[in-house]
This record gives sequence, structure tokens and C-alpha cells, in this order.
Amino acid sequence: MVSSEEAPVFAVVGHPNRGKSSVVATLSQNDSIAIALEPGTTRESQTYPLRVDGRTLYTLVDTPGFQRPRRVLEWLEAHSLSASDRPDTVAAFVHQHRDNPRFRDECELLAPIIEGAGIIYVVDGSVPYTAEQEAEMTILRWTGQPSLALINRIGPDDHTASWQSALGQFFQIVRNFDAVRAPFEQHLGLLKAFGQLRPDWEQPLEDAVGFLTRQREDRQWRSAHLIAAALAEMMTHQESRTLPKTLDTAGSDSRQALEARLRERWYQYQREREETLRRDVETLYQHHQIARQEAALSWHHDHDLFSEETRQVWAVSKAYLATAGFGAGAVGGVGIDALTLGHSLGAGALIGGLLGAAGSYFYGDRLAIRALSLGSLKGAGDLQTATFGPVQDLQFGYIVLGRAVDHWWHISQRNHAGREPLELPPSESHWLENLHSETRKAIQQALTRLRKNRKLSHGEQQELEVALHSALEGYSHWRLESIA
Amino acid sequence: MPGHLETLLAFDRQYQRDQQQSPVFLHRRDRRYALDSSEGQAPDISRWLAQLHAIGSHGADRYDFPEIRFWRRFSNGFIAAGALLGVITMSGLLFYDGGQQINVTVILGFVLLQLMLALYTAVQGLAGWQPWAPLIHSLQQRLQKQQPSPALSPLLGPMMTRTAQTAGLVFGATALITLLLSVVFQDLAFGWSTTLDTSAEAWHRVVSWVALPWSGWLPVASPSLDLVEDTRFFRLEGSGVDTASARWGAWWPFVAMTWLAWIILPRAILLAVATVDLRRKGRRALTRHPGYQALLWRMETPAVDTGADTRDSGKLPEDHHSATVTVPHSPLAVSWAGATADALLPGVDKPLPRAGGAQSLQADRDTLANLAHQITEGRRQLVVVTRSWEPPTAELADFLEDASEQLPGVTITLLPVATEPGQRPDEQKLGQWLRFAERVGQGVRVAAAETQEAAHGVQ
Repeated sequence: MVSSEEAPVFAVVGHPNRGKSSVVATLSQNDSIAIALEPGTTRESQTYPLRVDGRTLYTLVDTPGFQRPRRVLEWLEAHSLSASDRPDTVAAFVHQHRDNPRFRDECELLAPIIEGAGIIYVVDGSVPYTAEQEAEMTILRWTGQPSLALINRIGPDDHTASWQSALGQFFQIVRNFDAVRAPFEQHLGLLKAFGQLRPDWEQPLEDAVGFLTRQREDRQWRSAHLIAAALAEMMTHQESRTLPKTLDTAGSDSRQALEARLRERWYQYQREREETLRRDVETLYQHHQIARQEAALSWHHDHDLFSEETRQVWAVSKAYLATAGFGAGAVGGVGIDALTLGHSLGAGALIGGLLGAAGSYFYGDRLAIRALSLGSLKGAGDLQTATFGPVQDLQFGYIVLGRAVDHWWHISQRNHAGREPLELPPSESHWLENLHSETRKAIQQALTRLRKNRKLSHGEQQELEVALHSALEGYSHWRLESIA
Repeated sequence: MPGHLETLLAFDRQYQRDQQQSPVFLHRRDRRYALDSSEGQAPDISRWLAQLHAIGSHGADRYDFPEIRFWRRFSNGFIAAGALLGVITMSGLLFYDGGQQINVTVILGFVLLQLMLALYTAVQGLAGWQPWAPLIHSLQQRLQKQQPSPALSPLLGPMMTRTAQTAGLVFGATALITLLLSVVFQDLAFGWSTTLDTSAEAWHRVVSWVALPWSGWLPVASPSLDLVEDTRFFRLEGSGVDTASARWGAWWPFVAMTWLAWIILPRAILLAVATVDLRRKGRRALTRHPGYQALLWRMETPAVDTGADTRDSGKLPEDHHSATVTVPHSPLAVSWAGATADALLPGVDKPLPRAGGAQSLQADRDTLANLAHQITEGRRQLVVVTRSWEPPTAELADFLEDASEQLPGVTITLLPVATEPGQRPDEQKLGQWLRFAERVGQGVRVAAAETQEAAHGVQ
């Protein structure tokens, strides 16, 4: 048995392919756990301890599924005299068959339980309840260990009710938990439920919930830091090249070619920097597999940083730009559309659509970038520097910010059991108007400073991070309200 | 013990190295350090660096920075130049060829200039002006072929100020020594002279004000009105013949004290201010270093390891090599775990005999025994109907093994059915059954409902 000083262990058990691994993946924030493997290929238990500063608070054990439950039950029934000897009989079964390849999976999954682990029995609530799983539930009941059943709905159908009444006869607690879609608060609720299984498990699980909550808050702060840094770098980026002084005729072919080259490099830098930000945020939230899936996604042109659609989605209205610091939040999105008489987002989208313009429409003419400028290179008489950038348009900052915040939200809400490719569908930019006026003002001031190519001071950087942290918070609320 | 500049540069160097490390590792490492340090103690960067260096392998070069070496050389050169200039300047000021007295007015003017320069240097340092920075950068680039570290750039102003104040102090000191040596070894004649229409009283008031700091306790260095009246000289009138020769030399204590109090002392005070300012700005540069807040965060925040880095032991399934076959005609059939396939098995008696699922193992054996009785020459096919979405388990493998033993010569075919009756299961689900059949062996095949894509079925 587990002594009270030892951290609780929970064996996640069940029929093959019922979502055991997805539950473990979500709770351990591990997106590398192979889910929906061929039954019979997961042959060994895998432990996932939650450690805080080296101290283990609890351990999840991902086990292989039951393969021969009826044979096991037959053996147990043949070797038991009364209900009181059942736990010992299960232990005896494991000891006797440890080296028997036919019962390897059962021994693997029962071993942690007979050593004192709590039972987390996972079933798929999207398939109907059938009595065929009763053999394995009976074996688990024979172990006498504290147990909790999780109904993890994998498919679209819902047979939760029938499962609930059946599972209630075998397990102390029955909970619904969608490993792919459950929000973070439900993860914590589930861990608290684990703590209810035995009185001495309550405290470590409470501690774990506290640490995980703080970890999540920290991640939000660090995301704000990452976004602030990327925003500053992207808005002030300049492409430069050293070249002979002979290239100085305005409008000449070579000059235009140079400008085009530098422009392309500038765009490339912005795309790569945004990609780096994405990876950083994903790494922060322990999502290591998304990048690979994203590559396969073919980041199509419509969602590219410089696409027309992106501009329509994430740019803010001129009225917002003009009034961001002065309480424009009182005017809603519709009000802004009406006030600006066709210059706002909706109208901008329409105009863009009518012209059929691609990125070059806005970004060639309307996204003001400090275009090619030639300056002499000090200390080298016949050389000069050609520079392209930085961006002169606040809209660029708002587009980068909108996309970054949206990506952050998807990542922060994504469970590690999720294997679907990350889709970032177009949204709308009115979320900014829901933010507190102080937050909007701080963002606007920082973007204005960056637009003027002024480096943010330490204090200004911190102010921007605080504002972005509030913006992340505000975006989450806005999203929740939109969904509701 | 490294200085604060060395600490800053060492921290910056460590920060650059840490850029290559994973954030999880850095958090673990620094949290470990914070936990090992005694509780309640503020984080000490020097000790943190020392611990890293003690454990790491790069101890030899831990505080060897080209930037610091350059600054030491530069400062030493600047100070040496100041010392030399002090000797030359004072020698120039005291140049006395016997023809005319050394004009104390000139010396006072020079002292004033020095004072102004010292104050300007101090203001420049405190305000952060760096008009000379390009010169230093190009010098550093020329000498060391490298740009100064960005970590050091906010400190270049205070560093230059300190160097300049030190050089000024050394300048004053060597000049004073030169003065004293000249007094000892030469016969110097001081006087005062000005084109302005100034009375001796007015001039006396000026020198009394200059001598104010020491007049109370060193009267010999505070010229009297008589001395001032006696030692005025005019270029065209020649020196006052009435004045005793010794009177001309009586000015030297005043000159020495003026130099000491109005050049050396202010320089020393401003050097102390510059040193404190450099230290303060050095500490600030450290706390504003991009890595500093991150380090504090790592030290203060518990390292929560959720098991996210634990690699899964599972392997991805291999590809299957076989294909599905068509459903046999009029076979023997058994339903595994309650699966039904009415539309796919025309001519087969319903309901099908059952096996698996909630049945006991004995009931499975009975089913097989009954099937054995139904074998005839024309019915040597057994179809086991399963649910395609249910994973094939070892229990089914056992049943198939028992079936092939008890029904010799019978071909066993698995028939996984889709959730929609009569439909062909999707290829992913069929894949697991094909692989299962390959694992079981014994000639077990997999059949599936025909669709247009399944025309490649084997008879």
C-alpha cells in the first residue's frame, strides 16, 4: 500500500482504444503520447509524474488495455473463497503470471493497482454501453482500490447516460471528461476529484492544482512578453545592404530591382519572425507537435501575414486609430462603421473585394513602409547603404498583434490530446474595443513609439507587457462571449 | 572578486549561451540554484555565476573580457597622458626666466578653467552625453577588431567620465608635485598683474575668497593685503624695486593650496561621484538586462514538470500487407461480442451463434462445439462477424486459435462491419483488422462489404 507520505499514483486503465492515453496526454500536457495506437502494441505502462521543484505530487500511469479480461476473471473466481480475499487473489494472479506473455498486458495494468494506485477507469461515452466490459470492471472492483470512472466521449454520439448508471455500480465517482475539448478549469476539477478518492490524497492534489494554476498565469505573462518583443522587432525592422555609390539614379532599373529585393527580404523577415513567435508560444504551452502539423497544413495565402484577408480581419478602423487613447471603447464596432462613413473595416473589406486586390493593394501603396533610402557609409568613400523599412503604419502593428493574440488563444485553449491540425480561421478585430481604455492607450502609445523607430525604454516595455497581458485576458473574455 | 562590470559582462555572456538552451532546462537549473541558496536571501548574480562556472567547464575565461582589457588599457593611457600633461602644464605656468614675475592671475584663470572642465565632465557623465563615443568605438575596432558589447553600451558614458576624472586628478597631482619641486629647486617670483583698472583691495578680496576654505587654519597660504599691494607689477614699469625679493616668493603657499583645493579636491570628489554613478548604472544595467527579469522569474517560480517530456513507449502501427476478400457464400458464421451483419450474410441462419462479449468462456467453447457439428464438405468457411470500430483484442485471437483447432480444414474469415449496416468500414478501421489477421496467422482473412473502391478483393 502507498504510505501517506508517498505521492498518490493513479493507474489509467480501461478497454483498448477508449481514450486512456488522451486523458493522460491532456493531464500531463504531453502531446507526444501516441493516441489511438493499435491495441496490443502498447505493452508497457508509462508513468507521467507531476513534479514541482523535484517533489512528486502525483503520478499518472498510462497502462495497456485489457486483452483477456474474461480469462483473468475466470482464474480469479477459481482461486477465491470469499469477498475478503479478492484483493489478495488479484495480487496472486499478477505474481503468478508476471512472466506469462498471454497475460502481460493485464499484469502491466494491474501491477500499479496492487501496489496501491488509485484506479481511473476510462470508457468511451460515444459508443453504447455493453455488458462485455463488465469483466474488466469486476476485476478492478476485486482489487479493492479507490476508483473513479471517466466517460471520455471520443465520437459524436452521446451514450453518457447509459454509461453513468452502469459505471455507478462499480466505481466510487463517475465523471464526464472530454480529453480533447475540456477547458483547463475542468482539468483542475478532475484532479480535485482524484484527491477525493482517499483523504490523504486531497492535499497533494490541491497543491498540484495550485501550482498548475500559477503555471498557467505565468504562461500568460510570458506570452505577453514574447508578443511584446516580437511586436517591437517587427515594427522597427529594417533591411539594409551595402553597395557602390554609382546606384543613385532615382527610378532607374537597378534601383527598382534593389528596392524589390529589399522589400522581399523585409517581408520574409516579418513572416519568419511571426513564425518564431508562434513556435515560442507553442513551446511555452508544451505543444511541440503543432509545428510539424502546421507545415503540412500549407499555410495558405489567405491567412498569410500580408494577405488582403488578414488586413480586413485584423486591421482596425481609422476612427479607432485616431481615438484609441481617448475612450473610443464607448463606441461599438457598428458605431464606428457608421461614424467613419465607409472608411472602416467593413467598407474597407468591400472596397478590397471589389478591386480584387491582393496583398500589393494595401501593402504596396497603403501600408506605408519607409521605402528605399540611400545613405553614405561612413569611412568608405565609394560605398553607400540602402535601407528598406521600418513600417510607418500603425495598422501593421495591430495586424501582427491581432494574429498573435488569436494564435495565443488557440494554443492556450488547446488540450494536449488534440491531434487535429491547428486552424486559425479569420475572426474579427472588434475585440480591441472591449479592452479597457488604459490598455488600449498603452498599446497605441507603444505602437506609435515603435512606428517612429524609437526603442522602447525598460519602463515602456514593461507597460506594453502589462497592456498585452490585459489584452490577452480581454481577448479570452471576448471569445467566450462570442461563443456564448 | 569580480567588479560589477565584469559581473555584467559575465552575465551577458551567460545569457547569450543560455539562448541555445531549452527554457525547461534553464528553469530547472535556476530554480535548483534558488532552492539550494539559503531562504529569504536576495538573488546574487555573482554567486549564481560563480556556481555555474564552478560546475561548468569554462572556468578559465570566466572573467576575461576583451572589452574590459581595452578599457583598462585605454584608461591607463589616458591617465598617463594626464600625468605627463600635469608636469608640462605646471612647468609652463611656472616658466620663469628672471625677466618677469609669474602672474598669479594667469594661474587663477587656469584653475578656473580646470574647475569648469571637471564640472562639465561630471555633467556630461550624469546626463549620459557621449560625443566622443564614435572615437572610442573606432579605436576599439581598430585595436581589437570588434564592436563593444551591447551590454556595456549604457555604461560607456559613466566609464569615460570616471576615466576622465581620474586623469584630471592625476593631472592635478603631478602638477602640484611639479610646483612643489620647482619651489624647492628654483627661485620663483610670483606677482600679480592685470590690464584692468583694479585696486589692490579688490584683488585682495578675490584672493581672500579663493583662500576661504583654508584661511582659517592656514593663514600663511592666505595672502595679506600688504603682500597683494607689494607684489603687483606692470610690464613697462619693471618690477617694484621697493619690494624685498623674498616677498615675491611668498605667494607659493597660496598657489599650492589653490591648486589643491580647487583642482585636486573637486576632481577627487567628482571622481568619487563618477565611481558611485558608474556602480549605480552598472547595477541598473544588470537589472534591466533582458535576461535578468527572466532569471528572477526562473528562480522564483516553482518548476512544474507535468511529465510533458516523457516519451511514449508506443510505436506507430506498421503497414498491413494483405487486402480484404469478398464475403464467402453460405458460410458458417458466428457473432463476436454481439456484432450483427444480416445484410452481408444472405442464406445464413439468423440469429448467429454468439461468442465473446459478456458471454462466459465456457459458452464460447460450446459455440465452437456446435459449429463443429455443422461442418460439411460444402461448408468449410467460418465467418466471424465483428464490429469494425471495436479494437481486436487477444480474447478474439484466443477464440480464433481455438476455432482453427476444433474446426480443422475450415477457412476463417473476419468480417468487421461498419456502424451503418451493409457499408464498407473505412480503410483506417479495416487496417487494424488486416494487421490483426496477419498477427494471428493460421490463414485468417478479412472480408469487407463491397463498394466500388473494393474491387480488388481476392477470392
